[in-house]
Amino acid sequence: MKKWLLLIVLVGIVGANVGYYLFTKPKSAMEDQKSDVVLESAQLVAEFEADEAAAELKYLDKTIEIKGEIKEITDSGIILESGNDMVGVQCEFERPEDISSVKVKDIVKIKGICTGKLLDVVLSRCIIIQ
Amino acid sequence: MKRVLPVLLGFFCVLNIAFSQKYFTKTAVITFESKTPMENIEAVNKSGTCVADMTSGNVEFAVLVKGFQFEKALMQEHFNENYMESTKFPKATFKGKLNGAEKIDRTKNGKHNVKASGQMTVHGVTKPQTVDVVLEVKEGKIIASSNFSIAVADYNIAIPSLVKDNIAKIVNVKVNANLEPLK
Repeated sequence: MKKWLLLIVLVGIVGANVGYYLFTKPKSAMEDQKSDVVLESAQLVAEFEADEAAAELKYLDKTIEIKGEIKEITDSGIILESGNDMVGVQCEFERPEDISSVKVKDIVKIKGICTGKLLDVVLSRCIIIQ
Repeated sequence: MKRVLPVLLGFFCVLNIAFSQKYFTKTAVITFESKTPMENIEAVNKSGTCVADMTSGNVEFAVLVKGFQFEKALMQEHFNENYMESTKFPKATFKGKLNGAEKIDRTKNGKHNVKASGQMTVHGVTKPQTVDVVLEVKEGKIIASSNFSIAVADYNIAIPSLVKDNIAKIVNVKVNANLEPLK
């Protein structure tokens, strides 16, 4: 009888710990995330322009590795050229120091998560990988 | 005439910049906070877009719901999947008027309190909303900031009873936009 009780208490403690761990787990670093898609900024923008709903299905929440030329550097990130004057790829960075070493016209490879399209296609939590 | 033309053109160019009516940003910062005795939750999005026409007062604001960054992975997941259903409703928007914007002298630095009234769309639900906005004119730019609260129930966002003590029924939203004249 006592063994039973002990087992239940143990399972309870382990369960509570696992639950607590999952509940308070910080987000995994972008460096550790595998890219779902690798493509160029022009293609991503072209797909969003052609059919936004289809592109959303394909790219939302996906980790994207994107290559493009820097069009503009903003307060919180970078906007990549796409060959389309009206729409670029806006990359929001978590750490502003990450973009201190790049300049307009540089060709960069960036990894981030696609959150959708406003005026530009937006990627969040970006890091520069090359 | 040959000499007058370039001067005139130059004059119009200067005039055009000085009286450019539309202001714009792609990097507005939106923060929201849920405060309860049990838990404080905060999320930030730095990629809001805003276009404001200072002559007509028309203003449009949009933000991607999936772009809100939380500290904890599970909170972000619940926010997107359970509460905001961000795959179904990817954008939150506000369309309205900055009342009194046309009276602001944009050639002088200074702060102005105005009201923005219009339609706010969150979670696919559109409601009329009026918020206080501070517009600060600074070196030809406009810094817009606003602080308001919304009741989650107004936008049909259901909070499960299990976590009802952890999530506030009324959340605070802060908006900060550095608007630059549109060229």
